Amino acid sequence: MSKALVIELFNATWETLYMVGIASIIATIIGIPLGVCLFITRKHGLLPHKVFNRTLAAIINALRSIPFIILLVAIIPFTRFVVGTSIGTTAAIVPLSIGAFPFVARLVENSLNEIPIGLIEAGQAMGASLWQIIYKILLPEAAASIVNGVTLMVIALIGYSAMAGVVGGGGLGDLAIRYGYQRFDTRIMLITVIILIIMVQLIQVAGDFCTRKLDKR
Amino acid sequence: MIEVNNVSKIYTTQGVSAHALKDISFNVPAGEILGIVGHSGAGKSTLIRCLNLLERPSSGQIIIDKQELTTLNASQLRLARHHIGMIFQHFNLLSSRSAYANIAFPLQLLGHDRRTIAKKIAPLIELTGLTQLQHAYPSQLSGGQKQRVAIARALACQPKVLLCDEATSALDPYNTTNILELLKDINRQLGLTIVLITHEMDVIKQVCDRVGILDKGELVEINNTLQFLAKPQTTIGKQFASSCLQLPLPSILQKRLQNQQTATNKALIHIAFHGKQTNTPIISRLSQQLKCEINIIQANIEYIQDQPIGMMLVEVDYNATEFLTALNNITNVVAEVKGYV
Ligand SMILES: Nc1ncnc2c1ncn2[C@@H]1O[C@H](COP(=O)(O)OP(=O)(O)OP(=O)(O)O)[C@@H](O)[C@H]1O
Ligand SMILES: [Mg+2]
Repeated sequence: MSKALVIELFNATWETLYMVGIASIIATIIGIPLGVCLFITRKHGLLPHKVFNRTLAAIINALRSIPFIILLVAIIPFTRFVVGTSIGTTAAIVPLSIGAFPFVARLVENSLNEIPIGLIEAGQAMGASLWQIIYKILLPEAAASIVNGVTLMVIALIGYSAMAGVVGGGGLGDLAIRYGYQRFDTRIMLITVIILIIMVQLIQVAGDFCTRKLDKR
Repeated sequence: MIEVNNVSKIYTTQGVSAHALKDISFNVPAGEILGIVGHSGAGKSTLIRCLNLLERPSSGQIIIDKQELTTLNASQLRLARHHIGMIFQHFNLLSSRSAYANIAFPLQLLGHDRRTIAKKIAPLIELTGLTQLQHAYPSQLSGGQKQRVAIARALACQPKVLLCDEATSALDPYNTTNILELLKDINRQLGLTIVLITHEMDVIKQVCDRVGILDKGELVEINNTLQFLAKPQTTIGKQFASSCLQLPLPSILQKRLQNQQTATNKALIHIAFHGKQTNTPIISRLSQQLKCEINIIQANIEYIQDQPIGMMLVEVDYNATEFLTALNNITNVVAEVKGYV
């Protein structure tokens, strides 16, 4: 294997990690508060607000139903507005984040739903404010389950990132398509697949480890 | 300490309204343990949750420690709740925190620093006997231990009032007694006013100074526990009182039990007596008076608030109705024919 190819593989791995890493962080930062909002504004929630809840849920569902490849292209103007360009690895972070945050919001909402209602009541009986209930009861109690879900999201993003080639985002998926599909170089295809498998395994192991550490139930 | 005035609660679900509490009024003086008992769905949980406004009454007034909770705004109410402890049937401990951190939780909510918290909760950990277990997580504790943590947590902010919602219903009899003893200790040592709800008269019998009977949302009776047990005023009150003052029939007798008195069988009579009657030789007196043989099958004396209450199951070869009449001439005796064997 030529030195150039090794460098290319190395770069592509880095690009994937970079895109997925930053997008995961952004999706988590946006997704968690939205998930909390969905949870507290629902019927009989801590701060019920029907209109807000319905609207937010509708937006999240809409975003989740757009196929990623279409989202990637459809939001090009928005991407250009945010990062100044619509091409390149950094530009790919925008659609990846937008593709992932609705997923995080839903999984956070689900994790919060699993918390026994009695814990929230106990918090209220102890005089906790809404804010204290959120960050001292809800989030710590759901932490293990949220980390578990975020791990799933990161792995899904690795899959999505393969489509980033469409907007010149690079990454392992793009490399595999360029060499493996367009030049029939199955060897490169195989190597990228192996790297991706290892990456997914490591993320899963790390995610499981954190989940186990956090889960005291 | 606690004053409940004309509290009603109406739930409306899909246009149908249910009257969960109907015009309830009672007082709890400082340092008292009041028990509220009632069947499932009677509104016990609703009532106790109204006391700290977890559930807002549809009408009426709740006054705790001279503060009318029903008129407070959200932040005043939160402040007031810091001084009203509450424990629950399912403990409601935070699974992500150790026992110690659970107990520290209410103090953290108030923004106390680590050192203050440690100083404040050390005696509580001691009082609740959790010294060895303070670093364990709830999942590693038994039900009784979890409830101890919950009690310590409820006491962390030095409340004047403790509300217990079926606090022993998820525990076995041994742990139930244990937790009740602890509550009694706390009541004596800290002068805490306690309201506890339960569906078990045994709980009432063990710790409550007074008892209230809740039936279909109405407080039908409220009285000193001993007086209530001796002379319940309502039908439902009688059911509850006899439920804990009845000696169970031995199963061999249960099988042979007949409904009619005949020439060959004997009447099986349950007698409950209290106060000075526990010192009266009722049986020998009746035996002489009626010239009949009385066979004691089971007998027991319990002490409620240091007052004896006696129960006896006897077999007599005598006309049951006449025997009861003779018995009832002796005051403070409640007798009932169980059947004939
Ligand atoms: N959130 C609610 N919405 C509508 N109805 C309710 C609600 N909570 C309670 N109720 C009704 O109010 C009545 C009293 O309920 P509550 O839970 O206070 O009973 P309880 O005495 O605590 O019973 P249990 O011993 O089973 O716990 C019941 O008929 C119940 O259906
Ligand atoms: Mg209940």
